[in-house]
Amino acid sequence: MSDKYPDGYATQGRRSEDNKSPDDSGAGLLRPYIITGGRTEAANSDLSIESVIQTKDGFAGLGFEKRAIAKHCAEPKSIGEIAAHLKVPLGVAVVLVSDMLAEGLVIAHKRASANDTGLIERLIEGIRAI
Amino acid sequence: MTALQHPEVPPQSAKIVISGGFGVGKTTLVDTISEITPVRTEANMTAASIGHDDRQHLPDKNKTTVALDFGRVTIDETLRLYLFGTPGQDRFGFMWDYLVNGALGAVILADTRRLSDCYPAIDYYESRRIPFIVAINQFEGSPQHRLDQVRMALNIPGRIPVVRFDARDRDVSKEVLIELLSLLLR
Repeated sequence: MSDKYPDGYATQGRRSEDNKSPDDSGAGLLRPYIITGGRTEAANSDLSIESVIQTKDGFAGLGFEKRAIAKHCAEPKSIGEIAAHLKVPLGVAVVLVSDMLAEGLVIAHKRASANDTGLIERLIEGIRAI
Repeated sequence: MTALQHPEVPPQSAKIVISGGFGVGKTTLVDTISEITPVRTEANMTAASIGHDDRQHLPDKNKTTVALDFGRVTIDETLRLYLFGTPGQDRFGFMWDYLVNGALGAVILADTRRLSDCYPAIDYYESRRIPFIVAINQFEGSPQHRLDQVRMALNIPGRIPVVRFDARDRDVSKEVLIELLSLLLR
């Protein structure tokens, strides 16, 4: 086998016979993406873990996960909190919230900028006060 | 009297990331400052990495799943601060990029018994020009090096604050965050 690649290119895992192994070992990890309709990329790439989301309208007629998000975000919550609440990976929460933003079900606030001096001062005062 | 229960727009959010080696006190610091019990979420796959990360097909020992702790501080009705502990392993680099994106800055925790553990974090934030400070979490019984010795050992430029604190103490932990935020005003 090894002299098939006498020039030393027989690097581990790069041989063609390795490609035939089925990837069913990853099935458990892939399952959460069924709830995103198999999609893995969010339409809104500005969403990050600390983006704060709030429900705009009610949650009638929504599927299970989106209804759960809409209920949870009656009070504003971050994407990270949503992922933890739904017990889904962060990436799944981002995709779901991105959909809901596109559908006008929730609103999101843009995040703070480090160049905003007033905001940094508010943070300092706020931390002192806690 | 207005019947409006919520502000028209959700609160603005700011993010500070807490980095450093394994067991250096990242979760402790988040816990000490946070008004909520630190939330633990699975942060294995980001929107950008899902489907592109071949490692998801590998057996468990190579899984990219990682727990992520974060906490929250409500500054006022329209502003919240979120604290995130970055996973210690640098092999999760792609996730660091996602977590750190948009952060105001970073607190890199150091343990004087294992100073070199924070090298990857220092390199990471320096290379991305993200403001950071180094905070020595002083464990009982660990060496009390002078701060200038630590600065020299870590090769930290003079403009970057190096402080010593106890991540279990709320008041000094608050001061650490204020030190980082003050750096942003300079």
